[in-house]
Amino acid sequence: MSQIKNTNNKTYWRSLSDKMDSDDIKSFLVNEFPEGTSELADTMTRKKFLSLMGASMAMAGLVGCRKPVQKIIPYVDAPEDVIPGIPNYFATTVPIGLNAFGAIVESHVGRPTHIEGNKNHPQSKGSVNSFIQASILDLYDPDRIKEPILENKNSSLDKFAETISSISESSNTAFISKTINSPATIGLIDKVKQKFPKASWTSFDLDSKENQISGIKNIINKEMMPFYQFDKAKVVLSIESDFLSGDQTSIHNQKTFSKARRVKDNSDSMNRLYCIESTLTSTGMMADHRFKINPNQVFNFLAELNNQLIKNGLFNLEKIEVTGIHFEQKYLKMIKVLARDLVKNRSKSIIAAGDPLSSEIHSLIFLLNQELGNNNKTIRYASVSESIKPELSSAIDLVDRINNKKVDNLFILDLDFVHLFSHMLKDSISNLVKNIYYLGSHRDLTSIESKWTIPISHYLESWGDARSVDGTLSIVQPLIRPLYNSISLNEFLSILIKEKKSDYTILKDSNLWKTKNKASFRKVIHDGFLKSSILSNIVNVKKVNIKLFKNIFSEIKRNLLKGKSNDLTVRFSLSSQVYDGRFMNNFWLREVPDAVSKISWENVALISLKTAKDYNLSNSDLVKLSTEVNGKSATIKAPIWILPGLPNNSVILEMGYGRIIDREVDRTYIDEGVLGYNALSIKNLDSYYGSIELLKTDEKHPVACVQDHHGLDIESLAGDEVENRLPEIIRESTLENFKKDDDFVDYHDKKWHIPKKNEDIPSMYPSHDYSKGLQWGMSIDLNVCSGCNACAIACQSENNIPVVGKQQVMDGREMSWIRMDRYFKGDVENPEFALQPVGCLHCENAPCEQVCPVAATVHDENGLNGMAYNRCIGTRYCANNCPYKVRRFNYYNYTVDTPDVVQMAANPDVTVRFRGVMEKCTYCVQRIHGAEIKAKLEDRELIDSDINVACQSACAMDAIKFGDINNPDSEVSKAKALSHDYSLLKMLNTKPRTTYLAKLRNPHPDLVEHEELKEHHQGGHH
Amino acid sequence: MSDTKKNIEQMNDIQEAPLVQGNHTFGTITEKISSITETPPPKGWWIAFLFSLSLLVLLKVSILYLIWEGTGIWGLNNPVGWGWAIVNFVFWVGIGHAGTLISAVLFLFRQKWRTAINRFAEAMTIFAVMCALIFPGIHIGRVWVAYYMFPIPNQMLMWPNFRSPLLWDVFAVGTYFTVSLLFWYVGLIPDFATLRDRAKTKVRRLIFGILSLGWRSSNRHWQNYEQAYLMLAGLSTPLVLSVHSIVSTDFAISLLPGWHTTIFPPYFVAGAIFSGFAMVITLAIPVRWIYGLESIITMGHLDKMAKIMLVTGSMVGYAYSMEFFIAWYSNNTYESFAFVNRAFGPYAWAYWIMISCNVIVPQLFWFKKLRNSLPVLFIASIFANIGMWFERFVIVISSLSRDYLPANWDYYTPTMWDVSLFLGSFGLFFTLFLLFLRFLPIIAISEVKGVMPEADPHHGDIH
Repeated sequence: MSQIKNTNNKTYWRSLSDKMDSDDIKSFLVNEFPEGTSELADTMTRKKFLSLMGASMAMAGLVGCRKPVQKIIPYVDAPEDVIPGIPNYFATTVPIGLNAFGAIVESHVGRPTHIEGNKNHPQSKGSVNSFIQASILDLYDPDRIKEPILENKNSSLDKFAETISSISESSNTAFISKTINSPATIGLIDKVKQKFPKASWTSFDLDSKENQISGIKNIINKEMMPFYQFDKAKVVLSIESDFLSGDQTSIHNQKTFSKARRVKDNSDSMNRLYCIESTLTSTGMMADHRFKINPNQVFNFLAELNNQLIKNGLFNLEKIEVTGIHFEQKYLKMIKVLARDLVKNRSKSIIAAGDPLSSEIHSLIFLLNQELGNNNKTIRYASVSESIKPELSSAIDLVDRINNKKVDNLFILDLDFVHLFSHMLKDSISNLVKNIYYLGSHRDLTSIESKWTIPISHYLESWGDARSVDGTLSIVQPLIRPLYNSISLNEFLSILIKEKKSDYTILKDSNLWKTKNKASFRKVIHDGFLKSSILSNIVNVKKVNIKLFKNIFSEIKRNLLKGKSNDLTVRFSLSSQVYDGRFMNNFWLREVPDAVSKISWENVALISLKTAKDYNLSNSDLVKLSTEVNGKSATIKAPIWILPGLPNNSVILEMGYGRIIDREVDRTYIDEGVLGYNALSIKNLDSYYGSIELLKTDEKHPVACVQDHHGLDIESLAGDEVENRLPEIIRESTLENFKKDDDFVDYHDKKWHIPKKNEDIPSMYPSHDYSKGLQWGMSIDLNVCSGCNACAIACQSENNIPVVGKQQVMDGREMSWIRMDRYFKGDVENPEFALQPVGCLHCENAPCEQVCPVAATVHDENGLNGMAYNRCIGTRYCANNCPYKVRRFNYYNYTVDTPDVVQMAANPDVTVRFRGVMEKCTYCVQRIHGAEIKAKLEDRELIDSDINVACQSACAMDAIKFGDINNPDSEVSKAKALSHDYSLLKMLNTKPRTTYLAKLRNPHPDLVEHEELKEHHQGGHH
Repeated sequence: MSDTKKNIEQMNDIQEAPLVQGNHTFGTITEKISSITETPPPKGWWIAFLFSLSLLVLLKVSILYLIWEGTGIWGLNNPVGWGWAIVNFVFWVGIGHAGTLISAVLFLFRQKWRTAINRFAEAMTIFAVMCALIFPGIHIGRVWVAYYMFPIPNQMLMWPNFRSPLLWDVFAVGTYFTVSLLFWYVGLIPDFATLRDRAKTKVRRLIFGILSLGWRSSNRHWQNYEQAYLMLAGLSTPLVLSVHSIVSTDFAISLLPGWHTTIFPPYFVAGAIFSGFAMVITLAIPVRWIYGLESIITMGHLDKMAKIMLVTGSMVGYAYSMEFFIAWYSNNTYESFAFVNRAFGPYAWAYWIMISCNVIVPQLFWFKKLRNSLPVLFIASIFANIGMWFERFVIVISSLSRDYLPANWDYYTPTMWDVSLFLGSFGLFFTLFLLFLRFLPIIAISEVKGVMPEADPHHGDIH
């Protein structure tokens, strides 16, 4: 074993505590949870009962589902009418920020249940991200506002229209909206602006591309956004950019990145990812070389890189003087190698810079990319001039005017103004602005302060259009009539201009679509987008004369951060769960553990271990964080969580949380009080960085982390064992070693004397013959998985997986059928990362089946490990005997009080499991049987490409392949035939149908610190 | 004459001490034991009974709340699917073993000393198995379909899964309970008849009359009785070995490191006998004191039971060390870690309680003086039972909490409902046991008479 360990020269660990010596870490982890946290509070109170009864009365009006009134066109050949039990699929579009993603929505009897990517749409290419996937739950959010509200009382839209018409055109009116990239809406806004000539229009988004766009604009005088072609890049440098999951074009990025990352055999090549970041992101976890930097080192990094690029031949660049903190030798060496690697791969590299960086830096990055020959090759540019984009100066101006009581009528269009700006306001907004008109979805603080709140329709309830970053024009098609008395943004605007049209008419009459004839408009609706518009915004940028931009190099000297270099810095990041706060009431997203920290339900203040020691902090300690915002001192309280790989002397705060929503429906197992903290209240609007003061309190705040439950492993014993074990569980190598030795994955099996082929494993009993018929199997490529959680949410949506609440997650009872195991490797300060998605592996020799006393889990002839829920009595023996622990038990009746409207999100093809029943991944058996029936009706053989399981189609990295393993031409067979395919815990002879492709890293040879001496192990270890 | 007297004294020295001491005649034995059931119970009984009854109510409440709310009220989580319920199940089944061993195995081996203790040891077995049977019934997620475990015709046309050790449990424990109950009842028949004959009230006469099945103490009755008793003893004997062997397969058949061990069946049986005898001692000491039965349950009985505890405790200790050795010898890292983790991981405290109670404490019984000290016996027997409960805790929970994939590891903490169920099961046990003490002959009257010197046809002969 020790030899095996040495060959890889890798030390793995599961969490900090595994890594550190016990005394060193003990104090950080003990008492993490107060006694009795596993006890659940009494669940049914009188109040709860009454509110439940009240809610069911309120929902009684929602009888069944309502089909849209306008003609909508199904994606496939429509049946005569809706056939119960057979879903229809419609194309629609999910607009998020500047981008819009084509989606195909599954609809059961007029009720949308599941979202998948539109294969033909350039921004989704058949996949989704977790936000899009989960957005369907927002439609059925029981806490949505149902009626227009006038000063706390229900009112009507007619009354609202009346009120609006009385607003004088010359009054001090202001509008604030999110990013808008819909031609129809923009057309309406123009009309609104004409109607209110004195009104101001502000757009604001936390996820803003403003710095990037203005940085590029400074150079080429055009509003452009980079549109990366990662598939064409051999070397990628990411600076503060989470392009793989935190970006508006993340699906496109993942699709193209994984193409260049996937390795088929040992003659294949793969890209190399360098990542420089002051947080820890999915992209950073994927990096071959990741360098954490404190926010105040970003400038120096760029200066060093720039100077090294000059040394390597990019003589057009101007030297930048390095000031302030210098890097250690190790970092300098890395920058040298990086510069060499970039120059060597000219026009085949990408420097991607993230949104937190200033516009000057984005200008510089543009120039660097130009000099590297990347512009128009690996980086294309998309014109975004037609959209309404966030402008910080205008937002600050608006806040100023509000503070000076210069705004009489404020229209807040679908953003929680109070959540975003309350720390900038002198007083509560209702005291500063006379009339606030809020178009919003929830009774949040903005709504409570507003005079009028008009419920906004979900995108699945409204007609509209949207433009993607690349220019593709897509149609937002409703799947259902508005559930409540809500209107879309377009309808709202049309009321303002006294047109009061339905959103379908608005769309049809908009400049863009009114020229289309009926047939071609139908076609667009059917497809979901206008084919001719694909890539229409992508333009070639001209090469600029770099000498004209000398000032960029000198001006950039302006340090990112004011203050002393040894101050504690803060870095704000967007949440992977609630995004900018808009998904605050989306329990799928709230519960799914963060890709990096594995924390669910809340945000925490993430710090490095060294910082924790410096401030004498341990996990779950509540700290006070204060800074000066807008001239005032502001403080928040947040729990501490220690995460390896973060820069020292810095705190990472996730934005979006802490948004207060008035919930109408209490749900027993979902913790109502879990809000997180509002990081925005200590953030200056103009920067993602700042300096901060940290004060420890005596309080503790329990945090639900799915992987390091209860700060368990405080002994070095466990740490040593994890290190021992993980090379066998996560098999990995470097590309270089793989080329020399393509059966490296088998070392561990040889140690156990396990032959390569399952058929050759000796057995006392004849094994079942699976050589005939369709045999289902899966392959997961660890090399391209970025842990983005899209698969987990897709699975939750497809398979009706219950949400269990923070307390249950803390008790270790999360229900996710596919979980993302995260491990660290190496040095605690600069760890590497390994991710492994694990669902049921559908073992041919399933240990669970053997032990079930009632035969509730059995195999079928196609190799599926099935679960008969109505036969299951819940002994939990199967879960105990599952070496992968993928089985999930319904400890409570988690769906007991799921509101009626939330039940509408359930997939009718999948049983909702009752309390006391075991469940687990079924390989989406309902889809398999659906396809079987369809094939039978069409009188043909079922082929494996008929079926896409939910996780597979969601995965934008295409890491998951599913299909028939008996068919050598199927995608899954091809993946399984690769030499780096391996079975998890193969020595147990479970013969799992899901196998993994080993992780490969591609470090630069000059940066591999210890040349790994690869000894060949021919199974000789006894 | 004096020589003869001397001879007799010498012979008495080399003979074993008589099994029944004091100047008992058949009549006084009958009177002594029957009167317990016929006179109002002592104050101590009432106190104990009310206390047990309140624990029984706790059990009822815990079970009702469990069925109302679900197994989530326990501290179980994703890797640890079995908790205190299964620990308690194995614990109670184990307790039961001493009764069967005493009544059946010692009967076949003609160990006459068993007669003084077999009746309440058997009663203990039955009540312990009843306590045990609660847990597999209620620990499942859907109690209302527990009958799916039985091979009865159903609309699903499904058999249970005969490959599952849990199903073997159903048969093993079911058979064990049935045979133990029959064995106990058959042994009670002559004593029921005695009580019937002594009955002063109509109700007693009726009840004991029905229970004694028309026993008239005829030669033919005795002959049939002895044959039935011997056959049931023969039937019970393999059950002593099989029940806990099969319970151990719940663990041994699985592939979890720390469970998947071939040593489990003999090791579980030894442990069960160890804990069973400890329980008999725990019960016998107060019972003989309260009811003044010191002359029937003598120090000699306790001494012998202590010796059995020493033997079985040492066997268990050997098993503990063998597990470690094999884990190391197998060169299976998962297996070795499971055991190292037991001794030095987060559950080390439980492991060392187990070792101290089960291996170290019984070593006291190497010394006759300690074997004959009631306080030492009583305390040591309680320690042995604490240790045996922890043995099951260590096996079930430490193995589950850290299995193959480190990402799944989690710590298990019991909730108040885990504790209340366990305490409640003691309520059931002691309530039944106290009722037994109150209403049934706690010592097998007819059998004790059979081992008295007077029963020997050669009684009084001097050769």
